[in-house]
Amino acid sequence: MRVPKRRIIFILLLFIVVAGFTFLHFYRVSPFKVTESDGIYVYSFNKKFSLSDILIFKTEAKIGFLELHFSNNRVMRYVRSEYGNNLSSLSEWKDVAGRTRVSPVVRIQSFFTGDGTINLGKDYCRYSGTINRDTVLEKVVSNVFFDEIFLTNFVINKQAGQTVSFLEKIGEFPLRKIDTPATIENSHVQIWENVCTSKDGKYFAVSSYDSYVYFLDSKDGRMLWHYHVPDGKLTSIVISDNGKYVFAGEQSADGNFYCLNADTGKLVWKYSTSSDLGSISDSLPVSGIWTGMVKPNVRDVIIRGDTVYIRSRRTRIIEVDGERQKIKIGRIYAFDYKTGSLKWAYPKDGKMEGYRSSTLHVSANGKYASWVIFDWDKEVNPRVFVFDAGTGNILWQYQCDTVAKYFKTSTAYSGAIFSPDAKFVSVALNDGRLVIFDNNKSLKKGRGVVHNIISLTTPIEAGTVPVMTYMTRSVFTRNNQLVVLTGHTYTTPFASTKQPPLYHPNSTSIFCLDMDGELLWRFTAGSNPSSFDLKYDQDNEYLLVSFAHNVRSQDINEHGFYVFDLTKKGGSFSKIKAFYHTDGICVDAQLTHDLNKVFAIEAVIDMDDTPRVDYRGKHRVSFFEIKND
Amino acid sequence: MIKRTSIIFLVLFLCLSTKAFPDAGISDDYLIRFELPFGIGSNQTVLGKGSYVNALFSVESFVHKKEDIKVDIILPEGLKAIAPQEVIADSGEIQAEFTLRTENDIWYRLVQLYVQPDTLEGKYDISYQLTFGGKVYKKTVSCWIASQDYIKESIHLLRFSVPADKEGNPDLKRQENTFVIKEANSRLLNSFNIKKSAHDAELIAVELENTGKFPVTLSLDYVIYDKNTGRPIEWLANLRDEQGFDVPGIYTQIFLKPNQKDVTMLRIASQDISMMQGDYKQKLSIGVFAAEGAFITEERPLRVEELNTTIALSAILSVVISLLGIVGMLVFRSALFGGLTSREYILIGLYAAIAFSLVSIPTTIIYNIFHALLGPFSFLVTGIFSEMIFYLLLISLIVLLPRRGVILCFIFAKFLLGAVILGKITALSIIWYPMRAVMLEAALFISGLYEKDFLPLDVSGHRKKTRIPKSKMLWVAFVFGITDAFLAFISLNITMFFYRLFYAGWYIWAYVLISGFLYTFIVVPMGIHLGQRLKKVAVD
Repeated sequence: MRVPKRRIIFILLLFIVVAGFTFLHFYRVSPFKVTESDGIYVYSFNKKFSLSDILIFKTEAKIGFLELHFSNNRVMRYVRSEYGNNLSSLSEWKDVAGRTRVSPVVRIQSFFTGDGTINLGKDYCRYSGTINRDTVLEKVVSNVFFDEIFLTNFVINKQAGQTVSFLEKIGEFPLRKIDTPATIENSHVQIWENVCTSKDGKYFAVSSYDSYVYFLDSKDGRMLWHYHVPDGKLTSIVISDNGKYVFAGEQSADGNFYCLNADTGKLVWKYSTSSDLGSISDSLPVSGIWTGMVKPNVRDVIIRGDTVYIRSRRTRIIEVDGERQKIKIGRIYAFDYKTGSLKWAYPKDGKMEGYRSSTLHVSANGKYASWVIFDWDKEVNPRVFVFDAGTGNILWQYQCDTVAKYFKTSTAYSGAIFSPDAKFVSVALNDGRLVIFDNNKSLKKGRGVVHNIISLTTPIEAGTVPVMTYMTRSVFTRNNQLVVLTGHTYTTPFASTKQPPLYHPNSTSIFCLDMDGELLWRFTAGSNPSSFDLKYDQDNEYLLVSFAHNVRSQDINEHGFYVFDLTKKGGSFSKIKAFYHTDGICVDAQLTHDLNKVFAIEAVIDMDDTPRVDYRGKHRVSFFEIKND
Repeated sequence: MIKRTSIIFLVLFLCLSTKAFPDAGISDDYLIRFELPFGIGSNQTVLGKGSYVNALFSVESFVHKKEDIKVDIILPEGLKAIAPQEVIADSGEIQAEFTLRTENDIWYRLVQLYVQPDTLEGKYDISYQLTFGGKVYKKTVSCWIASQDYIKESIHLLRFSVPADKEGNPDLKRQENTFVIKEANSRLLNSFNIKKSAHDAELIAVELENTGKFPVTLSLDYVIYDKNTGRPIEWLANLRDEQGFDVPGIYTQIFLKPNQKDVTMLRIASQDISMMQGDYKQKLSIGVFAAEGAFITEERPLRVEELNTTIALSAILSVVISLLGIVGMLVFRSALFGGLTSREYILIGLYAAIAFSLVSIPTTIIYNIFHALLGPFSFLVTGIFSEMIFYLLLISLIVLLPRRGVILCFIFAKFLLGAVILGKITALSIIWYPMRAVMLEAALFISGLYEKDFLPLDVSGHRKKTRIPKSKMLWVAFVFGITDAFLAFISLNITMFFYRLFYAGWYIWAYVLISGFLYTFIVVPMGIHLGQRLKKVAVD
């Protein structure tokens, strides 16, 4: 009997379809190894995973926690609320330098009843940033033995356990493309963008690299208005406490400081700092990414009461005997924020010429302002000024010294910060010392009275090369504890090479110290802190730290931001409330005043230090909701 | 004497036995590291007899608890510890006691070790232990010893390419040992406010080989010296960041396994404010990481060139000529095109279409292929189309229609075809085509090809209809050759200006002389001959 060819083909096709569906239905990846140690079970998978991957498990025991460990060092941790938040020994991994880390961990509160389904790809994207192409699920760790645990792509009807993250992304606002993204070989953050929130948390504003101020609704990221500055780059932004005004500073030939109406986005008033500091016309030109340095740059916008404070600075390049020299120029200002009328400025007449200057700070009670000047070319060590914030009169000053073995002069770019009660003033010097002043005593004596000097990032001598790190930023908690952030590893200015032969053990870390210098807790990150925000209310106190690239390790896995709950007892591992990974660098992130939301700016970074490009990340503002335990 | 002593010297070649993190011991709550030598990912070193090595010894806590900790390191015979602060070191043993208080709290000390002069080649063990709360954790690190001369003989510098391309190969398009400051500090360019990229940099490739039996980490140091003063120049990579510190300079490390070759790239950023062009010296030094002294050094001259003003002037000149050409064409349009009949326009259009299909299309298609195959010599092939066939057609057209405006029409038609069909309409082409037309019209005028007395008279006083004397033919070829050489030069310069490209001097000369002058010089007589034959066919 001859069977028609058509029929054979049909049967074959039918067989292929049925076999395919059968394969897909039963397709599963089980762990290739299961090990147990001290009641902790490790299920090894090593499977490249995708958005559609689902983890299915079955057990009679009560799941306390379940961790998913990925090859890019991400750890997603589903945990019952009553199981506790002790993370030690469960999520260690090694960074590219071989240093053991216990972060980052995404904690997701779970209500698994025994059997469960985890929508892996979805949760990963939701809680831990975007998926890289080559990310592998290395292992699953839990406190229970599963009767059955496997990964599949095709089962869609299983009942998923309810999960709640401590940090959930709720939206994003795309920003325009950056022509020259940050580059991995340059230690500087390079993209100067800021985000700020209104006091009621309803709005947020962004000063973007594309010379636009964006004012947005924090509920859905809808843009309410935008304002374009015609020339230059925006460098700072703040919304007034009453939510009526938005203040923005720029780096441009005019060095303008803008006051905008928060309802309409129209200009209320502006002040040009170039009339005081000069501008491009009195300087030789500069090439490369520092082209803008000769233009006035308005930064450190601070509002206290009805006064807004700013600092403007620039560099003048001159030629002396055939050699180019940089002349640093700066001035601080206090304006009536409604009218723009100048209340006071320092120096009162003219400008501070020939000195580098620090960030401007104003105490929380609005009584005191501080500024530090220094210059290594002139061999001037930092000189701390504390002013009456109402009049601009100098109340006290102090001349710092330096550790002469490693430095000709020290610097203090992060300025002098005040404790919330203005009792203490702290200055971080780049030679590794924190100088803490007793402000009350200093006010009485009319000169700086040192309360304590803490050596935190002292240089170490690696053979003939002194290696250092520096304190990038510091802030007081509401209990007068001092949080200090440290940056990259460098060699000291006197060193024979610029390439440090080892990491400074105190680099890229967050330290919390009391006023006696006792270490209360510490967290070592793998990346360079780019900004921070500390806010508190009656019950909670959160520290948010955003991280940009690490020029030494070039490890992209720790770009993002951490939220620490400072009210939690224990060390830093207990205080980590959330971590969010960004592919690009996180250049700034801010909390809302009610501590419910986070707004973070991610910028693109070029990871290839050759003329080829390897861009990572997206230029956007993402916003998140913080959920409590 | 020194050489002989160095031969006698023995060195330690310490290779830690595991790969990823060879020297870490971890308990539940504490991590102990013994990095010998210290280093970012490094696990090898070489020491000379009587010299020192620094090791980083650290303990990190992973528990929020105040704990008193004691550590001991027992060194093998041949290594001796030099006591750092707060550490008790008794020749072969190091002890330290300290307190750790919270997670990530690190105790660390750099420990200096002295290598005994009589240490022999072989494998050694260093053991260390951590004691806290009555618990003891022990670890051991293995290492080897080798002589320094052996290491020196094992490492070979195969290549040192300045500048290199992004793949690490020598950049053949560029002059050797020359940098071009792409972020030119030219006031002229700055006044144009040309947007600058942060990526511009020069690349250097260094190829090394390890023929020995031990893995080794080498340090590469690249320094540029002032030719006259001998002082190191730091500006090429001497950025200062917000904190006032220099960013990484021209220094790198390379790890070579036994019998391994590898190319490493050094990137020279040219972004500082004080860069200047001139002659310098460059020096590459290669030594063993964390050991004093280099055992390979190579010194060469270095020429640093700025983006020169010729490029900018060429661009300005071409813009001016183009504008003049366009304005002139509009003002004298009746004089230029008034005499052309419809039939002649059709003929010009036909020639432009032929030129488009025989020049523009093949050039577009084959350019990339021959660029990939022949690199900087691709113009030898592409020039056959873009120069020879183009001038063959153009000259024959002029012989057929010896009038003003013919070249303008021909080039304009060819430009329109390219713009519409191939989308070749760029700022460069808008400048380039009118300028080329103007220059070729000028060449035509100088050559006298359309002059009434160009063709010699015969005995009877009538104009000869067939032959043009060789001398006049050569004159025309010479004029067009020179004009095209000039156009080729301007073309390269405006390409450099608009696309921020850089060509080596030899390439510019070769392109101008061969593709510009020679090809045109050869093909112009052929074009005249072709034109005459076509004319004859048309008349017949």
